Amino acid sequence: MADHAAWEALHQRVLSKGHSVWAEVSEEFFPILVQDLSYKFPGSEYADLIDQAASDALMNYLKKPQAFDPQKSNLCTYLCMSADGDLRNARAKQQRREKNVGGEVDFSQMAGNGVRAEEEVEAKWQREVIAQKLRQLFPQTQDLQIAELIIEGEKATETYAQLMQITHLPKEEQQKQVHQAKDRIKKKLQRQWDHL
Amino acid sequence: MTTHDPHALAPLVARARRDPAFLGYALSAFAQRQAWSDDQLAAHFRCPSHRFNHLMLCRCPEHNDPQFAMYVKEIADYIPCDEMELLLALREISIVSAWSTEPVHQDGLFLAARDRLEEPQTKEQDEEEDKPEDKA
Repeated sequence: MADHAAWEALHQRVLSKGHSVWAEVSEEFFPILVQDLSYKFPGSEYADLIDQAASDALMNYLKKPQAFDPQKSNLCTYLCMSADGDLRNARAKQQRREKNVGGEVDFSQMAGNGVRAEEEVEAKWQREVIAQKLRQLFPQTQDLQIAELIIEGEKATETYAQLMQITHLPKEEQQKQVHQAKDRIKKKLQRQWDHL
Repeated sequence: MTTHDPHALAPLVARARRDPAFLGYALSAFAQRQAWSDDQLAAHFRCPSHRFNHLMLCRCPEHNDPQFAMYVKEIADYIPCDEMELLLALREISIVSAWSTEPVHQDGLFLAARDRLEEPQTKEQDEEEDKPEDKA
């Protein structure tokens, strides 16, 4: 409880535009965030993403402390959830990039596999066109990310709940909100597909 | 609250050096201007080395804020470091950044700014300035 009271005091100082408190918040929470993410995502391949997600969560909070509602959770839980969501998003993006776009086209490998380079370039171009269409269809980042997860075939409610930052809600409420969001986005996607 | 290893903050400090909202951005620019290492920078501000990362992670006071000096004092008391040197460094950086539309920490910016300050005027420029003002 002592920590909770201290965290609340830090938050109040951030809200009142303290200048040294940014360093105090960083000192208090950055190691906790890194430790929490390292536990959830073991493996050296996540090290950079963990640093990035922990930094993003802290910097976003310090610049927009009003987004944290002390009535809903404590500051530590809020930052951990935010960092967790950032890391999952970054990991999903990285995986999509590796799976779909695959970076630069490796012509030498294609020649070895007998795949025609032009076809691969065409496919890559089409994927980029689709990505652009999605961005137009879903100007809000969260909707776009949900749409991308749906297209990837992601089924886990937890993944969507983290993206929507509603993991602090009861499971049933999470499922309900995730279902509503997916339904809304699927309908929009369906309408776009029918239109095409 | 717990005390943590200051080196654990290194990845966050690296980000702060690129973000103008943090003191790390302005102080990195100041160090670059002086061609100083972090250790030299810390020594200049009389900042204990184990508190240097904390200094970089403080919020950067707005130079045109009426409470600018008070915020600098708040930071200097917290770290602790030399309040006057910190104030002078931030003032210097704000002046240099006002000279440029580019971010202050980029390589070459300070040379460019200094060039503009020190560039010898051409004969034409001298003549132009010596002309009497046009009267309507």
